[in-house]
Amino acid sequence: MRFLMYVVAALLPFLLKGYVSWLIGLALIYATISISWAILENEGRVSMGHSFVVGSSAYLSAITYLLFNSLAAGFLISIPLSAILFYILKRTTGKTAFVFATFTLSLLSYVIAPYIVIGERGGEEGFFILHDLPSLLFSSFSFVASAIVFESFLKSKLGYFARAIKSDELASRAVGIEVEKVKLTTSVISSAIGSFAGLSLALYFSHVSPEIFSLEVSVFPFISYVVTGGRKEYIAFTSIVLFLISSYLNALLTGAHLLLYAMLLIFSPKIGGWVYAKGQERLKV
Amino acid sequence: MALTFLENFFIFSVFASLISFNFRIGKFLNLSLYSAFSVGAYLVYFFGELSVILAFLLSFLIAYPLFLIKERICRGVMDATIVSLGYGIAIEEILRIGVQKGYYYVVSEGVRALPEVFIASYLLLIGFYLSPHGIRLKFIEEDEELARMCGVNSAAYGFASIFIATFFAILLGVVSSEGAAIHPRIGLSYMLAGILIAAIATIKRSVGERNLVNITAVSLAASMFLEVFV
Repeated sequence: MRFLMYVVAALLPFLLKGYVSWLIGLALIYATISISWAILENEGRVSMGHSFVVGSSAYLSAITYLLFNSLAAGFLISIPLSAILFYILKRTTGKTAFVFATFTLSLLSYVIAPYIVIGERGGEEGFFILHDLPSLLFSSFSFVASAIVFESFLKSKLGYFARAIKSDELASRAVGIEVEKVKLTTSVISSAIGSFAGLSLALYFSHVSPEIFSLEVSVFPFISYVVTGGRKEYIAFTSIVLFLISSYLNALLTGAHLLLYAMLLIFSPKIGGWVYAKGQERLKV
Repeated sequence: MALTFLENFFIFSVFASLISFNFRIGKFLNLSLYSAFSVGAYLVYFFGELSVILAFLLSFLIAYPLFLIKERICRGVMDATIVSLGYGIAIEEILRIGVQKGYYYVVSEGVRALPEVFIASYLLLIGFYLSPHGIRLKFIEEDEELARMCGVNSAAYGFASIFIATFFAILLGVVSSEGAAIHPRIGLSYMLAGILIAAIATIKRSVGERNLVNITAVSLAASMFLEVFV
């Protein structure tokens, strides 16, 4: 059923017209970012720096396009770069410190990005990518492909191993799960999907700027997860709805959507606690 | 050049010491401090020298709700840190929606007291650690739960740490915004520098006033690095 819903969501921008079509296309990219984030969460790692994965892919693609007329080169570099960085962070930090470390990484990239200048391009303005590729088709395809990978991952042996690591890493090692291998693989899958989202964003706007590393992009998947009530299999759909609501609020009053994000972040422990209590209730039944 | 070096040193060391103090006593990484800095920058633009007094009142208004939310709904360091990020974004957006009518405000005449704020913050923190409260603070730093069991009012110290951090972050915004084009995210890069410096200083695993000395040394190195390479 969910597969069908993913396909319907991906087809929507082609069935609709004008601004709504464009907006849903953008929502699909944000949903892809959330899927990438949820793969890490499945292993118990809350990333507050997913804008790094997305931004580095978009930036590197734009730079290689500028220098070598190749989008793929930058995109392909960004996958191992993000995967290795996240894997190193997983190895060197615990679950709580991982939140701080990823947040600092995204903040660092946000501060450094305006200083990236190649020739006379870049800086605060960013880079332009003049192309005639079908960006909407690319975004929709990336979304469906990511969603299928995500669903398969959740039901695969790797997905169950990751969930076991989330529950108890030591016990997982004791029963023979190759914890490091799982950590590395989830990092690679998450980075690959995040990099697709970054490239989609760059193509969608034909432009990348330091704003791609902003806090907004970093906190969006976490907020979507909070809204799902902890049921990560629905994160793609809640991301689409949340993005559309955010866009509506932003149109009513610039920045109002960030107030909504802020409120959801502030009350996230309460919402999380409620979800936990409901889960316990379900278990009793 | 030398002025920039000194300015960076003062801002980095104060910000890092506040982040570290808040983390060790309040038991969370207070990510709303960048917004407190921005509040200070707007205060000095609108109220000039009166902003120092207003900073005190505003820091209470900002710190107390954050403390209450942290105490009532957060279950640990991670929850409280995420809540503080949301709190920071909320303040930032309130500033953006409520204050920003033009594009940028430029502070033409600020309050020039950055060295004084540096001295005052360090005197207060070191005085706190060397006073009879110091032993309780170090106890909380090392094991908050045990400290609470032994009768130390860790919640009161936690609030004090949030209040002091917020107050000095606002003051930093007040005294370091002269000539700057202010916007609601003006404090973000300083907070980032503060987090990195506080994290590096923690490597030596010192507690209390010794950690503050480490932070000063790392801030000095960071300012020199920026002076030479950037």
